[in-house]
Amino acid sequence: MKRTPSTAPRLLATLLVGFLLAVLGTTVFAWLAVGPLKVEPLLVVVVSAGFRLPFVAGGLLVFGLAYLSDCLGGGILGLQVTAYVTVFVLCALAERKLEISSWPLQMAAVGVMSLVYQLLVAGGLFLVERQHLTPPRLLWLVAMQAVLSAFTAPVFFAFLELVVGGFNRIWLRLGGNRA
Amino acid sequence: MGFWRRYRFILLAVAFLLAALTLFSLSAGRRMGGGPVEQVFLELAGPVQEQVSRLGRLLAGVWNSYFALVHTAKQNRELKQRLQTMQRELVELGELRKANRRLRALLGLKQKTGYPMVAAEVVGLDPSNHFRSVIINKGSADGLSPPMPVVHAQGAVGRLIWTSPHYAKVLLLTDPNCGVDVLVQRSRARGILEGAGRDRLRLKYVQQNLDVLPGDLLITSGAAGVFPKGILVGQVLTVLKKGKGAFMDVTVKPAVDFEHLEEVLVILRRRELEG
Repeated sequence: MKRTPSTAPRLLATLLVGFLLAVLGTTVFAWLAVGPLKVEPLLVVVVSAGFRLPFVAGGLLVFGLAYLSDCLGGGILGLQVTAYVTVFVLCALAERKLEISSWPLQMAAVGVMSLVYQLLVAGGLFLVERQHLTPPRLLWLVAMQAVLSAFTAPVFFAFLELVVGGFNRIWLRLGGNRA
Repeated sequence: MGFWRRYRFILLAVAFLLAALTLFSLSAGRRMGGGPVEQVFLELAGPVQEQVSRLGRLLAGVWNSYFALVHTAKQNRELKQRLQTMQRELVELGELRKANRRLRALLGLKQKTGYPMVAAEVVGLDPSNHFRSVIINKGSADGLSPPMPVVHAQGAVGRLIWTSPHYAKVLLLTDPNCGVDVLVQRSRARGILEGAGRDRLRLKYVQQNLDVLPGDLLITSGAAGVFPKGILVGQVLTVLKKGKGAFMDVTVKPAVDFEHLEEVLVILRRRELEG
């Protein structure tokens, strides 16, 4: 894995924030659920990794965080890993043409990726179980979840960038290059 | 070298996706994990979940009781001070009384079933809306192992799917992957109960000619070897007899309120059909 010094603070910050948000996703954000809809903070971390981290390092980080998410929830190991890694690859592809520096673009990216993620998970469940939510209810749930994820995304992006900024300052003090 | 430079992204993307799909297909076959990596992740996340859960309950207690009454206390400063002191004590007493009631009910269940049990606290909920599972703060060090049944004073909760030394993951009855062999208590009609979403279950493979009515209580049959016989699982909500199908469509309301699950009991009973 080729890791330049300037990407290290962002990588470490994303790892830390990803772990924290994955764990908070099982507690605080699960309590704040709106009916069946839940905030997806980890999806924001994955989208950010896809757009802002080197491909190999980001891919390994997303794989690890998705594995953690699979361990903390769900009954089929690897389903969320597959969905999150797909989202990451799509974001890394989009990064070649697009930069998500403004909050409307961040919302749009997370909204679209939430749709991809939800449909992949639902499809995976259907493959394994042949029975899950009925399509009309599934489509409604997927769409509303994407809207919720899109609207809450700028908050998590801002939090992540705040931590990245902190890590950058520490990194500069230690004599490294800025990300 | 030129080939690698040109197709590096595609090759790496395929490698990541293949790794993820391999993990998924391996896990889908054997259904549940529980290996050393998963144990390490649970052990890492468990203490954070536990502390956040405790803090959340504390804040919820303060929010529900203190802030709801603080407006009336403003009328009189002296009365407010007294009220705050008494309120704090009341919250503590109320929490103790509620905990006492829940634990008494659990103790009663423990004595009734006759199996050794371990009480555990729910420290984490499922982050996804597609699955129904919780993390509890007891693990293999307390004698827990999959697929031990998990119950509550109200009825069956689910079964263990993974354990780490100090934490365990419980697949709830409402998860589509969770199936339980059950009996209709009144008519002894038999079927398989499966999760059907947030707070609903579906009774499957019940023949059209069998006697099932709305309001009937469902209990575990003990046949699949996970749950002991006779534990309340839910109540029949609707019964739909299809014209040509062999089975009827039965929806069930779970006996347990999964939205407010705080303590559970794990029955230390290994699958009797094993070995």
